[in-house]
Amino acid sequence: MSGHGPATVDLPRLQTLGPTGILCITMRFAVTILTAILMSSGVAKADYLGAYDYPFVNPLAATVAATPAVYQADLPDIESLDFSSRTMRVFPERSVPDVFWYFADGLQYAVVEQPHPAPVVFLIAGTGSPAESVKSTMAVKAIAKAGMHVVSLPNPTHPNFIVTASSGGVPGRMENDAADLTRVMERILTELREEVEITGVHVAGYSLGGMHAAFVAYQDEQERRLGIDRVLIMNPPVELYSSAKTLDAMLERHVSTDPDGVRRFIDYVYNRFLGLYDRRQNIDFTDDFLYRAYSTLEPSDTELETLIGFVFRTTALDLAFASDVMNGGGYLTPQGANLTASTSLTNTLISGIGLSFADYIEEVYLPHFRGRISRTTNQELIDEGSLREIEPWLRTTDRVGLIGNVDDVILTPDEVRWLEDVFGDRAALFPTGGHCGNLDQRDYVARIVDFLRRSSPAG
Amino acid sequence: MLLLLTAAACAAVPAEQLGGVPPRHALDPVDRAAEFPLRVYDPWEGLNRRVYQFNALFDRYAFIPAVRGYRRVTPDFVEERVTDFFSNLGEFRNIGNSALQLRREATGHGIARLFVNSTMGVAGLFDVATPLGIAERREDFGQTLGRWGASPGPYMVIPILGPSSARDFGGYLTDTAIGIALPPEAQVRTAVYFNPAVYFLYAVDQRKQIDFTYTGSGSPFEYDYVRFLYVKSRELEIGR
Repeated sequence: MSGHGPATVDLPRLQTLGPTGILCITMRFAVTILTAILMSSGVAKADYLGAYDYPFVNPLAATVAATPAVYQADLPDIESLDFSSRTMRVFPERSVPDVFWYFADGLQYAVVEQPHPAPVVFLIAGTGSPAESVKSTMAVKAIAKAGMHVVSLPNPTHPNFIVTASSGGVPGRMENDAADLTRVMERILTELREEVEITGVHVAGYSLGGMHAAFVAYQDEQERRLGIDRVLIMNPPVELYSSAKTLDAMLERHVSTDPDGVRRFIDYVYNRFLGLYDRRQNIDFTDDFLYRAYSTLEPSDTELETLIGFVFRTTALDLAFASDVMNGGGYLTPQGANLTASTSLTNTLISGIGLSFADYIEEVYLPHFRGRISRTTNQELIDEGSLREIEPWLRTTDRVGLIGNVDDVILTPDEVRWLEDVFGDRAALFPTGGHCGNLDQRDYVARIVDFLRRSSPAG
Repeated sequence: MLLLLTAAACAAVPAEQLGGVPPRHALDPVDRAAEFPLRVYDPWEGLNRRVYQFNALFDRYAFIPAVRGYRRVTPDFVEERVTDFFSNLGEFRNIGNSALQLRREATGHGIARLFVNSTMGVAGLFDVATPLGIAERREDFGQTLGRWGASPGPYMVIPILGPSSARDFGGYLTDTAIGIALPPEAQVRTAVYFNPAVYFLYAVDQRKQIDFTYTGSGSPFEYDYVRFLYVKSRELEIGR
């Protein structure tokens, strides 16, 4: 990932060089300039941003350590916003299983209201994330900074959504998830209109939430139940299955999930962490902790991949478990079992941690939908889960905007080129940042605010 | 009989033993008992999970609203004074336990902090020791017992107080009892904690400092992760 940045040429004093030396310097200079030109020439129309204020050129490091404080945008404090955490019983007749006692009040979402008339932005969280996750909160603040009302929603792959707002209980199919999201948004919109003046509706999302946002907007284009004006897609996958397999592989490459493998992994992580703990008498988990931890430990790519892969693995397990319970069991839990708040889930966790997201797709997702959609094959179902499905609309509509990173770890180079090609000048692509690592970086936030403000000519 | 009933109430039924058609993926009987990193000695798991649930609800309906209200009405400057004040009182415990662990440097450290903060820091209201390079080193009786070889014993979730273990909770009770009975801490406690409002302030201040929301992750396995992280971090604290 070198070559992104101003070219620097070490110029030795010319007097000490002969003609050969001068020729060498000239050539070195020419090659550097040429490389810079070649790197940027392939990105004809997309807004390809050059060097910007972000420290990590390693996309794995960017994904894990995110944005250190000095590079962060100036965002409002949550305390200064009219922020409320809310719940909603989406299906009042549906009883929440005992084992999900903490979801008894329904869907958990968050609202920021502005004291003046403004559009509302529905923000869809990333893969397996709740409405008040760290990254969602960053995006909420950025949107509030743009002067708009915000509704932050969990991703349809988060257990809260699966249990309280999903009609089928098997998340991941864009058409179904979009319908579930639309139902929820409609109800929240009705509720909000009684509290504040709403001048328009926008949708935004990051990571898988970005893909969901695109499909919600696409569906709304036909049905017009929400009246969505603009869609902001941030760091989306292009093909869901392929990105999921990439993340699965990050763990599988380095750790075997049999008891020995997991034991070695955890011991290794803790021994490494212990080194850091020694050096710092008191660990204060401030914004900069991850950055300082990263700088001190200097984790290798292997370690970074393992960490990312492991977090994704736990997300996949949460999803699979929630989906299994809502569909009567049989995958991870006994069929028809009545799980309570005191049931031990430890053995379920231990056996489940060995299963990948691809396992969930193959053993739960595909059989479930093949049984419901006639005349479709597994391959067709997998191909469906892609932004390419709505490519004609994405190419031509002026509603969408894309912000992403060229070095996003979930995208292949082909997929990055596809995004550049489809979105053209409606895309802002940063050269570094990994997967959502730069979400609260100054320039990234500026892009978010800029896109949203351009959406509403009046107010 | 009562003991049997209590034992039955405390033990948790594992999900895979709830009857019905077994799932496609489950541990075989050998692995169910086998040692595994995420498995922690938790014979009272059923009861612990119920207390965890109680703590989450207590947090949601009582504790967190109290902390929010406190933060809203109290100026930041005053909040910091409250935190520093109670932290200073905790030095008695740090000093005593550092001494019991035969840690000379840490004991001296604690004495220095107590002295500096109680004098220059105006009765502990200002933590002037930390900027001077004498940071707090937390030691409690649970750590002392651990240092002297005691294993944690059964995992326990204490009402309101949260994750602990038989050893650590016993340690907490010991620290509290010593504080009530032995000078010089006893005198300070009588003077300070005479007022129930002070207890309330102490509780709210403690909760405020812990950046954790029960069930905030939304993960069905949060209980297991918290249990594991608690045990591992105690190991680190004791080893330090």
